[in-house]
Amino acid sequence: MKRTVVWSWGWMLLGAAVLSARPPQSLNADNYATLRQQIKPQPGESRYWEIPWLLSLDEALRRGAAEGKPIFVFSGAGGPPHAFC
Amino acid sequence: MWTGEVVKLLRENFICVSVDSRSEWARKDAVGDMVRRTKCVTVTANGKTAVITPQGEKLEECPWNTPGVFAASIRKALQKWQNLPEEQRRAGQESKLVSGSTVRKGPAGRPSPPPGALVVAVYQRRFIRAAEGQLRYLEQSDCNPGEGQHRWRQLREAARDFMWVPENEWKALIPKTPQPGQKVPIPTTFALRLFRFHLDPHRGLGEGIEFAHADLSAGQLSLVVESVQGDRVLLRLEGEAHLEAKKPEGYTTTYAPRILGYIQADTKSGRLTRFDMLAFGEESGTPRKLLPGTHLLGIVFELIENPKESELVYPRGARDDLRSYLEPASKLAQSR
Repeated sequence: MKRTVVWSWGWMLLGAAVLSARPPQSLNADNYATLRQQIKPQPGESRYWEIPWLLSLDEALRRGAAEGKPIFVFSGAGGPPHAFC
Repeated sequence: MWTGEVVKLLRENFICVSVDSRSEWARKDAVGDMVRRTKCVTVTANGKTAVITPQGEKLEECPWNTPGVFAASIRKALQKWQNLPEEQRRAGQESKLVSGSTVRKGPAGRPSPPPGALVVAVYQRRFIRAAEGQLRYLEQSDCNPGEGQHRWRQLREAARDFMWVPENEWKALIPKTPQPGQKVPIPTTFALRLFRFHLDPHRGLGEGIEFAHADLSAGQLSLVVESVQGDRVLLRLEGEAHLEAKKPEGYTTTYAPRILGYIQADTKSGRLTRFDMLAFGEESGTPRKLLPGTHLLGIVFELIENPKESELVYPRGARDDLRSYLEPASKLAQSR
């Protein structure tokens, strides 16, 4: 039986609604797709992933000069922070 | 902080780059000199955002973790850029810091995916048991005092990582003459990489790796041909893991997921057209004690067919020792 996901922006804001009608605590082929959808980023989450990050400062400098744009540098001490924060 | 306004400003007006400050700071070239002179990357454990010109002059620092200030500082940086003389801003120039073949394409001093490797997106999220065994996303009140209260929004969201599956490994998952019900051996390197680096409750919380010492005994995986239709073969991956790490602080982190996944390949072309998995099970002893008790942690794996540059960032597990990530060795095998 397919489970129904209650999903809306209001739900996101209130955040207290229940995700599924029955507890999907035993992973199986029936709840596989629903659980995956609930785990993956939802609208409005992790918006920094909407930015087309480059990983090379050299390439950013080259493209900035070629396209006439300034360079926004996001740095972290443990790795590229768009992935590790 | 990363509001719609900020994302729009950055997408429309800037070239955006995400870097490991330690690698950039250590460079022995003109870019490294610029980085140390302008301090445009962080020199502390905290992240940092700054705006520079293509010729390496710093325009502004943008405190990304200060509410209300971030967007204003980006607008200020843009205004400073627009106030520069036109000859400094016009398109079609070269940066004096980099030219031609000296331009590094990947992250400085850091690994890129091996040729032919699958790039798999990894997302994970925690769930709280609500009344009558139902599930919900976590709330501030679910989190422990201190860091848990400060970071509850981050804890609630999906965390990300990437998994690399080397070409020889994923090709070994596709039988040459598949038959429904056929069992396919799973490379031990795949299982070890999964147990050690990708069933990790620490993703999204920091740089730690919880189960780096896990061995093959930490779980079991099976792969069976589910169907064969012409050149298309569908395989079903199932299994479970029981991972545990005793913390020096006196508590234990555990994660015990069931694992289910599907792999689809075109045997004629040898292409893999689907690779997705889901791990779902109980976590206890959340790293740094951000959450009390036990709850459910789900981890999604999903093939990226044409990764964007931002998705080519190395997996956390590959950051410090690429070989141990790509070719993890079983301690059990070594001790025999």
